[in-house]
Amino acid sequence: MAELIIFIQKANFMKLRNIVFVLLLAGAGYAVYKMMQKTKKTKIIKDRGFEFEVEEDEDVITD
Amino acid sequence: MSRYTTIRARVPDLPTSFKSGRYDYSDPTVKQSNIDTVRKINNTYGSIINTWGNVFFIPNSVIVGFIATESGGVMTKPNRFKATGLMQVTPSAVWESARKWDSTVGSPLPAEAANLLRKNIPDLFTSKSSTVPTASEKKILTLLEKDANFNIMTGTMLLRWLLERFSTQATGGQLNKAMVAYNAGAYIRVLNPQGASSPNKIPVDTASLASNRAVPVESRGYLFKMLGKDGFLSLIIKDRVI
Repeated sequence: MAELIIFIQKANFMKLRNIVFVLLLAGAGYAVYKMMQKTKKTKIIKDRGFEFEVEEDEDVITD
Repeated sequence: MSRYTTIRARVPDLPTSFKSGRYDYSDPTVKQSNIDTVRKINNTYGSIINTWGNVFFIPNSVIVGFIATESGGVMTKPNRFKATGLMQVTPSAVWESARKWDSTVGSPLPAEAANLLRKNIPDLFTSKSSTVPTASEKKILTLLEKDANFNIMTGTMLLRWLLERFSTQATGGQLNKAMVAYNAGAYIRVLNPQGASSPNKIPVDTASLASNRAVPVESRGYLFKMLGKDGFLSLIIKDRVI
């Protein structure tokens, strides 16, 4: 009986550790994705009271 | 400092292109045709667009985009809603935006525009009628159909009036709402939930407007044509085709 309890405790611990590991991995992935989004280059073009936010293509040369 | 509200907009503001059946703005043939349309409009009417763009403080790119979306640069006859010419303006929209300009915008109608209107439609500012009298309507329709200068002036005036209608200094102007109102009318319920006299000035993002079924289908398409990927503003402002 004692062996069985130890086995269950061990199994649950393994499961919990895996869940925490997967969650951490997902969180890190999301953080990297958001950072990539923020670092996407944009420029503001002002024209007669309008401000256009334009995303820059990497292969486009702008002034 | 400008007397008008600052307008901020992302270009493009929708991640997908306008699609209707097999017709797709991202299709290279359609895209080239749209570029040709934009260039033709700019070459033919560029000087008039620049004049009224200066008066109403609206970029040439936006006016060219509106003309491309509305008529493809063709001086059309009135349709069943009496929308006419390059910017598909209706006599009632001219009547309404000119007469209610001061109260909505908070400053007088620019003299160049007021003089042109007074000269062509003498009773516009003196009539007691809130709707367009028949004689004036006929006169406005003829001008809208035959006179590109009058058509672009009134279309640009209407656009500025709508931009100010859904704006406050705090929230800034909202190009997406003005586009829906230009296409579907200034008083549609989705933009005026409390009634025609109290327009909703709270900003709404373009994606929400484009997926809102209370917005007419044609107006949702309008948002994709103007603010979508490969839309007219993207071609003009981002890709600099003119």
